[in-house]
Amino acid sequence: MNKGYSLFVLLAVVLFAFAPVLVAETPNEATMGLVQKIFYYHVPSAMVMFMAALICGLASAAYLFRTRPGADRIAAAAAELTVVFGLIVLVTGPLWARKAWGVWWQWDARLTSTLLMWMIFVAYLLVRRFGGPGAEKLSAAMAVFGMANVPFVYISVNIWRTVHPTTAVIPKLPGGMRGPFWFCVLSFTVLFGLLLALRTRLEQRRADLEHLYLLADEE
Amino acid sequence: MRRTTTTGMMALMVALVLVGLSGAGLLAYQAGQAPPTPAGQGAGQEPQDQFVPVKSLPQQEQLPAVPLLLTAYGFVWAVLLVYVWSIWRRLMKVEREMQDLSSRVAAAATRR
Amino acid sequence: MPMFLKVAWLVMRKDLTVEVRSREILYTTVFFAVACVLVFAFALVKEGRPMDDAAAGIMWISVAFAGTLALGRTFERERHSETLRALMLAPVSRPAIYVGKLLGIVLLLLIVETVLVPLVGLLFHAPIGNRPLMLIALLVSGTIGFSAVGTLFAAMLVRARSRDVMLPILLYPITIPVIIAGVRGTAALFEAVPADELAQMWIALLLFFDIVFVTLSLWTFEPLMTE
Repeated sequence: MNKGYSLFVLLAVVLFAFAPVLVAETPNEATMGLVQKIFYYHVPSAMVMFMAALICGLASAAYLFRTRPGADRIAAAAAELTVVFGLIVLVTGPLWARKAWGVWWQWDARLTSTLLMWMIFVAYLLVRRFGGPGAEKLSAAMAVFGMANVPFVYISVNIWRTVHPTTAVIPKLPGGMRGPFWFCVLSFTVLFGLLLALRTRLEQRRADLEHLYLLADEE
Repeated sequence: MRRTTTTGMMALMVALVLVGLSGAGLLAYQAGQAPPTPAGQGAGQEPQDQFVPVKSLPQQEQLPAVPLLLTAYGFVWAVLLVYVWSIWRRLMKVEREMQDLSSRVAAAATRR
Repeated sequence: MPMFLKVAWLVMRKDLTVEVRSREILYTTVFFAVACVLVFAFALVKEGRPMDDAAAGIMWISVAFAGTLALGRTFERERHSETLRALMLAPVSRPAIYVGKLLGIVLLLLIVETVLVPLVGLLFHAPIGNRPLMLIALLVSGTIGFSAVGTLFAAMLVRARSRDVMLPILLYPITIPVIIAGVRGTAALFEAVPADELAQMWIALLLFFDIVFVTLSLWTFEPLMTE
């Protein structure tokens, strides 16, 4: 297991290391100029956020309907990652928007729904921490609703007229941008996998500790 | 097993920091290569008697993009580093407690 | 299916009977909603005239706040008398219990809204008579969406710690889209020339939310209420 971890770490680091090099070589965008390069971190983070939310929702559903404690541990880890990568999206976005749209924030469909979805998973973490006994089930219910939000957030930008670019931008990426973009997606995904594994391991060790406490009490 | 996880974590963090710094440096270098601002009109000999519209703001008037770009990338690196460190810290705490507890359990067992 | 409806009806009737006897939750919720509207009225009035387009937002915010309060109080009553455990022990389908409780809450909130909407119309000069049927459709579908999630979480939280503060934390991020749709639809109807198509779009979206939220709630109610 440890050799696997080391390889994983190496892979994540190498990929992430190479990303800025690639990004530095990409062409500037016509209207937005240099600041558009935030795109190479902003969009992969959003994709990872969606992935994490979906994993959290599915694991929570598995926990609710099959009562597998392992599923609950994965859900807890995935929820934290949703909040972390969501934070990245919600900060890099406005930094880009300040130059591209002239304002830090707009209450359009995409931004509002993303913020709300992020808040659902923040509430997940709050319930887990402060909900007392039985909090795992409460948070699992939140995650199920949060997961249902993901497709809504994704298509919000196609249904309503928003200031945020539509999803059509990705398939139509010009050549010079396509390579570095998908490379960044790959490196973010690998990093996400690594962080998910590590965080789940933390939950596992916590559960082991609880078990050990129970054994110690029996003495 | 515990030590390998610790070493792995440390390696990940150090690597991320080094890579982040070099990446930031590279980006800043590339940004710095932006073409020099076009020379404005010389301090005119005559006062302006007409306003002339222009399609887009000259480079000096626009919001500088480089600080925004660097802040964005820097923020991503910072958040990921802090998060990895946070997992590491929590994991170490749990491992320490487990060591404590298992030694106590073993001691209690041998006493009997 | 008939058994399901019968159980839901029985649960709702029980709630209504208890409420009719004391009318405690009804009076306090109506009063709270009115107080909410007044607070907004004082906060958003400038030189004696209300802010433009404030009516729709104020109406829905008051419904959301009053609804949260009513949910908390209703289930607090259940917890106090331990009737929820009795309901869970009954050999009936759990989703039917959920539907019964949901209908009770929706009815309560609709009654509150019959007081609230004319008051908002009066205080903020809002043309509530513009498209009465569409306004009713907006209110009903919005209330159902909000209450569907609210009933689920309030029932879940009955036995949790710090349940009073947890309910808003869990409820609002999920139901804010419902409130947004309600506000935008109502604002479209309150315009000088009501924007019918826009309001219809928002009503359709609210119905979509209703279907999704009620389905998810029905699906998760059983495992959530089981120990």
